[in-house]
Amino acid sequence: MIIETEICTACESCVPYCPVEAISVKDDHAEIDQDICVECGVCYRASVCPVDAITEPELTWPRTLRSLFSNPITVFEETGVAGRGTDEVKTNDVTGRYRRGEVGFGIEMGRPGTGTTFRQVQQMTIALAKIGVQFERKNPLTTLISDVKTGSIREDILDERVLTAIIEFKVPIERVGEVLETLRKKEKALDTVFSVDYISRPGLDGGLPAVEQAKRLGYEPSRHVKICAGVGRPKID
Amino acid sequence: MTHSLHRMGSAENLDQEIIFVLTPSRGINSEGAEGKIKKFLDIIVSNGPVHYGDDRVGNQYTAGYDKIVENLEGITNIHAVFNDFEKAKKVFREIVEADLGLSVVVSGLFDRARGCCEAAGVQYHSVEHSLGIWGNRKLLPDERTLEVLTMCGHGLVSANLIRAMADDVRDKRKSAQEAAEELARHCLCGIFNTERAALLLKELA
Repeated sequence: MIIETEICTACESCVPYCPVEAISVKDDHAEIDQDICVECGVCYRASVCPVDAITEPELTWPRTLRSLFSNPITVFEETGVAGRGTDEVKTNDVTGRYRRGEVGFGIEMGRPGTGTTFRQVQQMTIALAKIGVQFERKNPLTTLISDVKTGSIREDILDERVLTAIIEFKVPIERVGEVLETLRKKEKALDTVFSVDYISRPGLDGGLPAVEQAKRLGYEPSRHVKICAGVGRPKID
Repeated sequence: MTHSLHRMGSAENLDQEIIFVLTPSRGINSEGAEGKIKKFLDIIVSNGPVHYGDDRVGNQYTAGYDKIVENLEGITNIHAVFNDFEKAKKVFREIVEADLGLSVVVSGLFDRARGCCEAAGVQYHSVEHSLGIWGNRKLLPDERTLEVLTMCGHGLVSANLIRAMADDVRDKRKSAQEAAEELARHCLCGIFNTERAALLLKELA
């Protein structure tokens, strides 16, 4: 996003709207720090500028990635899904992405509210690749990993900054501990936050073996959940 | 994208909140799904949600029902928030009876979300839990602000705007509901709970 400094009156109306604090007022105008801006479009859509000084420029590669991973109305062409991940658990009843005995992970880098660079994301993808994780093929981020065996991300995008990038993969329940230990080790080195999604299916007895596994390992899955109700068709059991 | 998963708040604060998300799946059941999506939307709207929206078109404040219906496409997510568990159970029963054949997520406290399924005679298929926020937590705002901020899963509601709205409530420039609606405008998909936000803003003010 850009503020046309000749028009801007430095009224500061737009400043609090930016989710990543990229807008500041200098002397007689506000400006957007282009390194920090994630192209989410909030300041533009907010329509709070009294003189319409905020503009949404045509983006070029690799800056286009900022919009793709930060502005939810930007669509990832390959899956047709708007936003930064797959439909994960939402359509699991018809995609069968996660089966019994498996756990799906979503490592939501930069969430909530801090944002992340792909360089920070790469710190995590490299750590996960070392333990043999296979990244979800249909996730937009996976298409930017130049070597899925090492977890390396394309060099030309590493300094791009986005609101969130989701690393998606699944593992057998027995490997949950290995994944969580890797996340635990890596979090100390990161100057951002990440939220962890944990997806599973109930057992045939109605129990939740993956949740029990997490608890045995000393983790406390949230009380707040998303349930795929299983009303989609054709249903995959 | 896990829009509603990482909502923060006390059990008491989250107790009555149920979120529904309708998601047609590309290449599986999205073709010709517009009529079913409209039926879902009509069930939602007729039951008086706190908030709703289509993440490609906008929410009830930025787009409204007519614009959402005019722009319905087979690939989208429709979100709706209810703040009354008994009403949410009724809504989900109506959704199941409508037999849309499209995937529906029920989100809330586990017993409540499962309770909606049970009330509609549905055995839920899969579940997603949060394992929390990791990394450098010093970068995060205070807990109360975070409870409001995490209502927008896309992260479009800024911590500074939440503080500004709390200030407006404290100084009586806005009512808590007006301030919550100003925050909700930026959460495009309509998953932001304005009623819960208004209560939290009063505490922050």
